[in-house]
Amino acid sequence: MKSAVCSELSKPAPSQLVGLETEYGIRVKPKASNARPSNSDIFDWLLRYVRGKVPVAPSISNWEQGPYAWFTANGGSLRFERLPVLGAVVAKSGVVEGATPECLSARQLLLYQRAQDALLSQAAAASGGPRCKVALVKNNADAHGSVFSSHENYDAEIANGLAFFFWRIGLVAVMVPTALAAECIAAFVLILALILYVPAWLADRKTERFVRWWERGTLILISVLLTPVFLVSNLYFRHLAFRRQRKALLAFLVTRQVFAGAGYVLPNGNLVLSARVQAIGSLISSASEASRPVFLFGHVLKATSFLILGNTSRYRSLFQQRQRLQIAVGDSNMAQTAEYLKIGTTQLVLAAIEAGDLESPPRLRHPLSALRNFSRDLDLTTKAKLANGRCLTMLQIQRDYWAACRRYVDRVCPGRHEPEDLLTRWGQTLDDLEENPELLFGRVDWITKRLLLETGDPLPIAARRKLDAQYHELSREGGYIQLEAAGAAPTIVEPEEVLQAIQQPPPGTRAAARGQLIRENGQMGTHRVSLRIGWSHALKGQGANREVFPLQEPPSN
Amino acid sequence: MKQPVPAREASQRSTTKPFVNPSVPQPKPDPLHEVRDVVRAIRNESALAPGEYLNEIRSVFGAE
Repeated sequence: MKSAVCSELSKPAPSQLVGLETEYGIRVKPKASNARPSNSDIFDWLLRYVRGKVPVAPSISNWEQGPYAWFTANGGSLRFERLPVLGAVVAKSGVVEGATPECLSARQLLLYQRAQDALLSQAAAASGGPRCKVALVKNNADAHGSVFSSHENYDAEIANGLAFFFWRIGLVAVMVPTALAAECIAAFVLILALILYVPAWLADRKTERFVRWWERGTLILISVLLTPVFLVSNLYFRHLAFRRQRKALLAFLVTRQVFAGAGYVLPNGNLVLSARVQAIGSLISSASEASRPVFLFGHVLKATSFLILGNTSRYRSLFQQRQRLQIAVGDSNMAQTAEYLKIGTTQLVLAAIEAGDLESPPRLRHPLSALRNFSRDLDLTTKAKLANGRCLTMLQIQRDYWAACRRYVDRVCPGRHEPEDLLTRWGQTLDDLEENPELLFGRVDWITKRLLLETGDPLPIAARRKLDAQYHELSREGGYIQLEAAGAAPTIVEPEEVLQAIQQPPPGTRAAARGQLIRENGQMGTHRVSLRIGWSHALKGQGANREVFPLQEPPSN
Repeated sequence: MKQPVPAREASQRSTTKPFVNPSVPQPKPDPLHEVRDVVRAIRNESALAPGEYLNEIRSVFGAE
């Protein structure tokens, strides 16, 4: 079988593709007595700055997103992610989301994630003007109870043989009726929500508290009504989609927080390893609003819904054998080492699974409870029971995976730079976590936060929570940014590379073709050219003169 | 069961470590030694109007 990770120097294979989607919190400090602007106003300011710096093009899906989804010159995307269904009513509420272009390696992805962070943080700093000061916060939860995401996408084989045949049958027999039912329910809830919203709107009583309760109530209602739909689709995913990879990967993802967790101070002041883990309620789901899952299949339901609305391209891509496996359990990292390891080790483990080098991976008996218990285990001594009766700590489980990946690299691509570098850093990080975790200050986010919190006199709970949040602020006031500037956080990608990656797409993927189209035909400032971009194709011109440009992965040499 | 131990960069570490008597407990290295001032500044900053700061960060909602 083709190696997924080990071919980066010779054969750029589609199986290497990886990407990140990051939602950012927005910090606004109003000046004088100015009211806080809406998040959509801030997105408009960010977009205006970005358009002045790099060519951009609107997304093909703007008909569904309004003027809120764009692609930039490096092939990545920037969008204002609005609430599903409710976005039609509360149009000014939403989050700023950036998606990296498709990348071929962990280091390349780290570079493009940092380029996205840099561009958006510059845009935020330039926004606000005399009214307020704006900064983005790259974390996963705000103090108001909202949890936002950092999704990883890995290219993997969805199924093979008979399972792949039934997957394709199910796309018609299961997903189309499921999506149709979901759309009917969503339309019903939207009408109901509108009816409830009108009196408050007429009375001009749209306070934030009302909107928040209204949104929560509507989400609960839609979640309850959609439960049967999700049960059917989740059953389908559970039995047919990425089954081999999910089974073998799960214990790795449950324990990966030991080095990839960004740390999170709970409302009671206690530090835990991961913010996202606190919100995870299921292993598989097609809707992250109802129950945040480890493996997210929302794009399958969304693509099928778009088919019913007349957009066929996304649905057609679901029939391909290699598709994106979306992982939703990871935190947004500030430390470069943690982010590089998070992506690179997951790629390695996936490659080992697909190559058959992980025949008997650890299987947790209760993965969700293990996930939560491990997240509270700052001493790294908690054990979880495996299906075979053994009880292992996070570090022991990680070492099992490390050994399997070592065998895989030795067999398939010994001496290749990135896999060897990943194995060395991964192994050393596990050693340091066991023997001397202080050495990981600036490299592992939760360790860094722990030392910041525990060095000196105890801080009150509110100060602990502020320190946690401010660590993630992408500005000169940000804790991690200050540590990096002081040389306390080792970097893997250099600032000059990051500046270049803001303008140039990664070579070797379809992002290069996308970026080229945008640079040649995109918009800067207010100049407009009729180009619309998607992940898989682009449209240029209008009406009878409209040209379609497929964006395909370059063939492997 | 004995777990496989990942290979460290043994040579790198061994060449930088001075001889130590294993029977004498050694003080742990202080990872914050060179960034004490930055750490102090971050901690001091966290104590300033924390509630106000946390209230300034919103994800989904923004408008009053």
